[in-house]
Amino acid sequence: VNDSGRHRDYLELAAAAIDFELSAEERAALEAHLAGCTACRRRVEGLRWDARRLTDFPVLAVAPAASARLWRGIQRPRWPMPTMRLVAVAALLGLALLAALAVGASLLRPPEPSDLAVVPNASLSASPVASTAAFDASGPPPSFAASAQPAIASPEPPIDGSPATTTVPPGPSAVRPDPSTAVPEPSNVTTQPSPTPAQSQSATPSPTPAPAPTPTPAPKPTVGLLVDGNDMSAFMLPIETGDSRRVELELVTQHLALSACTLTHSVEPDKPGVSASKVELPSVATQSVDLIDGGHTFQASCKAPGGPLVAKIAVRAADRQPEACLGFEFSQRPISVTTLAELNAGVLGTWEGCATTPWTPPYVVAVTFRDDGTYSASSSDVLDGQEMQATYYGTDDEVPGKQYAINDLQDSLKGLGQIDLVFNSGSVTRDELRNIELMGDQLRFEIFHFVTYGPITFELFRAS
Amino acid sequence: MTGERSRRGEFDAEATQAVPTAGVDRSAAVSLAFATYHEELLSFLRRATRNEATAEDLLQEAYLRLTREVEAGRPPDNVRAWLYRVASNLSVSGARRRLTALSWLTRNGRAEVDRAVDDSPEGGVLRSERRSELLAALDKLPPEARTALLLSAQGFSGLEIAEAIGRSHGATRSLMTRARLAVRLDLEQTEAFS
Repeated sequence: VNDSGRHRDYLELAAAAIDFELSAEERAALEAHLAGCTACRRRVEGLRWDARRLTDFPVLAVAPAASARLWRGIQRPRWPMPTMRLVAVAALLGLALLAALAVGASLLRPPEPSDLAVVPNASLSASPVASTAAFDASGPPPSFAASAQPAIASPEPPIDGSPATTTVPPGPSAVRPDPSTAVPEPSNVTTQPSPTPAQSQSATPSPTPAPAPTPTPAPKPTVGLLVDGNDMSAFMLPIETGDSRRVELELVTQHLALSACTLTHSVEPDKPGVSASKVELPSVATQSVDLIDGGHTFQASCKAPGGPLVAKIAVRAADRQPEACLGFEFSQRPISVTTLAELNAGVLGTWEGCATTPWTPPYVVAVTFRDDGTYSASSSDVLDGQEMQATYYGTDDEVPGKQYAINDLQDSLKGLGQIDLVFNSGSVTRDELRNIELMGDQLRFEIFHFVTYGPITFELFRAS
Repeated sequence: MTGERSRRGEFDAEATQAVPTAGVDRSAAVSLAFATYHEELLSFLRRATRNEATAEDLLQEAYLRLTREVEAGRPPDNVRAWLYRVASNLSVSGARRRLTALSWLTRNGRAEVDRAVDDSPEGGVLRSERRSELLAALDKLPPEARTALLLSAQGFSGLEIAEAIGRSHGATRSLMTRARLAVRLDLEQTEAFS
């Protein structure tokens, strides 16, 4: 392949013209050259052919399990600092629940075999339609659930409360083929013609090809579990403290008898002192299960011709309450010190009680003040799966640099001081201790982080 | 408001659709964006990065960023274009290294992902697809050029691609021109030998 420099220049122009607007001169020069150069013309045809074939690359289907895993990754935020944790937990609550409802219902149902489907490449012209529908709250969402489902064992479970989950008859926006329905069968790679949703808007009325069903050689058994219509793991169901939540558990099989499966329910209660349990449930298509505060895992294990099949789904019923401070009472008593020295001597020792912040429910803490100016603080509490830090900011770990000082006693007999909060990264913030009230065997004080973030209020009883 | 968002340089002003900012749950908007685009975006990333695990990481990162934008009240006008731009940018920048350093998937989670990917049928598609001569030619290109051609295949214009890969207009034009010619010459050679 020997290109003279001149030919190469024109080929570059032709290649550039695929993605960029040529100037009038460039276009004229290119056309003039191509008119008289057969070799270049052929090659330019090749360039355009390559570009077209690139757009024909199919969208590779993603197995439902992989989709679920990816979605979980998106829902699981990284927390840069311990201080961000609770914010993230709150975000997760909102995200996980609503998003799981929306996506779980639409994206991942029915529990398809993790087989290939190749769907046409969504061209740019198709995207406005898809995105219109996707983000038009008033109209039907173009969720995959909007397409016809292949026959599965379960009825369409209704999900209330989320507009995203409304199942609607396919409208013009639902033309986009559904990977889960387009190719119902495994081990077949089928490339379908590209139906463009934009056609429904364009003036040229070309028919939209319907997905051609592929013949079924050998049905492959599958099993799936849904909780209230979701097959998303790791979503949270809010409950009231002391209450439980009734959910619909669905066991969905394809080409497999329900009786081939055993179904178990494991519970990790979010309550100190209550141990985990695991019970067997009847392997029926639908049943109601009451979820108490805590983590719940359902697992279906099925005997199938090709080997055992397992489906698992984990959800959390969460009352957003660490349990240990429920019913904690702390009543104000008269302050028992009159000098700074008395206060400094009086706080030494170990204290236990609860801490309250503007951002969390009360959680259990233990604090020790030592006469060398060091302290320890820790919380054994867990808020919906997240370990609490006693001082909210910083770490509970025994790390160097945890120091405190009380250096003033106000006329109100409340002390003022400072406390160094140490983070796992090694950084330290010197923060304020305010309103330190020693009341005999009771101690109350507040921490303000960076002067403004607080109060983190400690209400403690002497432990030793 | 719309004008303000447009000034942030969305891909296609005519094809813009905003994520609703009021009245509709914003997380639901992200989940719908996931439902609608994650498959095509992952296909794109697999071909652009030639690595399943990287593609998945970048996909998740793109959606995490979308979540942040939406929660910060800055939903992109054209979500699909926005996602492609972020994904492309991640795939050509050093973001991959930073992502690894952050290691936001646990070791266990990662192992599970790798195994799942190796066994997955879509992994098989990718493998068989690699045998295609066109993809083989594409694979020989530098990552930036490959990403640019794949973006073009998704319908993006040269100007949009320049923005996505963070290059000037002129640099992108010459990058893509050379890439297209390289692919063509590569295919002509393959055809000549077969």
